[in-house]
Amino acid sequence: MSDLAGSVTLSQVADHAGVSLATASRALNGSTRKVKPELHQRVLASAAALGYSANVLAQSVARGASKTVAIVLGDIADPYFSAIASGVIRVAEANGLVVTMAATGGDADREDATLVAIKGQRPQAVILAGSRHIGEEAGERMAREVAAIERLGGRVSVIGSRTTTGRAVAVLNRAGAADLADALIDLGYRNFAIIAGNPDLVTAAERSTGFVEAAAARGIVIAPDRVIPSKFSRDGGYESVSALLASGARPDCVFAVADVVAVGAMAAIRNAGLVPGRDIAVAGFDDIQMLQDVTPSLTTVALPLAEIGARSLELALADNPDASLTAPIEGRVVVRDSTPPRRAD
Amino acid sequence: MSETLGDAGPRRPVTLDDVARRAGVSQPTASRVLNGSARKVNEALRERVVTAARELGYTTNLSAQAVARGTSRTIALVISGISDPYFSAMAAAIMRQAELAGLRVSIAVTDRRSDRELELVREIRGHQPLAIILAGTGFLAPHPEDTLVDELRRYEETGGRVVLISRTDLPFETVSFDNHEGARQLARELAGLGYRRFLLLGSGTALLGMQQRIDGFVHGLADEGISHAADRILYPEFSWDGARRAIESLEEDTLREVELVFAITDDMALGAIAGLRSRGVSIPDDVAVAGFDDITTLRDIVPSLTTVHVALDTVAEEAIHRATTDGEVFTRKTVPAYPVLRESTPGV
Repeated sequence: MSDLAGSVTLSQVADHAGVSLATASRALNGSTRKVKPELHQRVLASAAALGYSANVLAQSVARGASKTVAIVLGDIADPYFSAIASGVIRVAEANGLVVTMAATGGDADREDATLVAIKGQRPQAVILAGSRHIGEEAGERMAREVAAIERLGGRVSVIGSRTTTGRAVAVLNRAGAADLADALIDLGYRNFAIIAGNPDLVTAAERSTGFVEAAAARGIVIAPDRVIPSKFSRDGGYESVSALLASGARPDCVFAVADVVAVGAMAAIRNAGLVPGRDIAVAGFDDIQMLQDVTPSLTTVALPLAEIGARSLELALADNPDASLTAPIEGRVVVRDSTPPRRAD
Repeated sequence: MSETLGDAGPRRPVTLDDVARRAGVSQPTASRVLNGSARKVNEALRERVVTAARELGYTTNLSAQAVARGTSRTIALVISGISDPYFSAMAAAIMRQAELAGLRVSIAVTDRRSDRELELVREIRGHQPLAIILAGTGFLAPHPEDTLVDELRRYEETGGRVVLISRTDLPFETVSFDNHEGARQLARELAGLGYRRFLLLGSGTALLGMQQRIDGFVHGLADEGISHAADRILYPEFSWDGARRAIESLEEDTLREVELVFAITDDMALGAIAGLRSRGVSIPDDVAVAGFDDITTLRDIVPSLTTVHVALDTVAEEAIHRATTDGEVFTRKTVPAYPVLRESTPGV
């Protein structure tokens, strides 16, 4: 029952306690079926005496997979991820599962290493919540790790875009960004700068491209030097906009591909002695929880983040996912005080 | 005892099991003595184990322990929540420190529910991480059942390490912030700025660390000769929303009298600000606000928030040290917390 040479097995504990394997398992692994108190005590005493620890590998062999759902995300401090995680946790709880999280910092190599480590947990489901990387190599590597997890009885679900294969929650980033561009142009904005995040990440690339294309369709060309790559973080927004303003540029609206980046952008505008909203408008994407404390309130594309998380786990647990689980997720433009109507010059 | 090893074959490294047999104790007992554990071992037994270890030349080998543990370079972090910016900052700090030590962190969330906490620890224990870190605000009352304690002890007996951050409800040593002193110093600073009439927002859930912040603040005011009326301390639900609702439901004449609102966390301070704004109050001109934690992700809030800084990185560093160190017996450690004055409390 155990993969590790020298480890105490559940069989040994059962023998030692003079109970059946099933009883020992129920006593140690937790079960809705009760075990007689005196038998329970014997099993616990034997387990302690032998130094047994409920080795999840043993359970996995018996059941195919453990009770764990593993979420792989980018940055634990990023409110976008914690909102998604809350949705995963809700569904996990309803299914008697426990959730663990690991962060990769957006690094593809770390994601691979994390997946290798997660395999050891024999998870029932793995949610890949971090943004996908563009490029064939990243895709193939990931496909191998996904296959390895599935061989161990787990299922992998990806929060991604329209083009992600396999069990995926497709977030319509491109369309959302396009809708936002239209709304901002309707409000009178003409001169845009985009804080575009990491161009290797699918999410960032789609949001940026969607915005540029929609603006072009309205006759507004956003020059390549106004599509600025940045770190996908508050500091990324702060640094990029600081540099932009220091160069003398004065866009009338800054679009940041994520709210955390937008918050940094607003701080940079303030730091340059300007008023966000009134002097330079700012828009973001995601509608994270912390926006409730940001002033002026931030215009954004709202995503049902918790729902996305919940859906990703439901998808992983469903043997035959139906259409309701595979429908793509749309964003909804929410106009707030950071993009007041702009008077025509 | 004249058993010798290696009579019948090639020498091999001395294991914990060899020591246990030589000392005539169980393996868990030998582990407790040599790996460090909050559980006391009978002095006579301890002596035997230590002697046996010395005679056999046993050394606590970290990688051997990792094999014995079944894994790994992973630490399991169990925290109360992650939506709360304090906890996600804490988790990030621990991950940074863990990374420096070449370790991976897996995180699980309890939502301050003891049933979920127990389930999580049970499941996580099976993955045999190097250490389990439990970080929380610490319940006022000791843990109602012993089952969680049993799980943690069993985990320790197989060589795992239990590390606590701000948990005073479990019989293991904890790393804490100096909640009382930090709040006390803040109160003194604010009194020094001329503030006299305060409203305090505490926690509706009985949490020891949070109550220490209220007590400390009241103590600091008393230091400055300001006696604080008990009815100026409210205990809303321990959340941003709870704070907001508490402010929104204040009587008009009560609100008019308040010069400064102190909330036990930055998160609640922000909820209070939202509540004040919804009542047409301007911050800091009409009412000043102060919090506690100094959460970095909130640094862009306007006006910038006066708070008490807690050295999360110091706590995280200490936690990782405890998670990776053998043989040391750890006692409670309190990390200093100090006030940081910002735009939300300009002075009277």
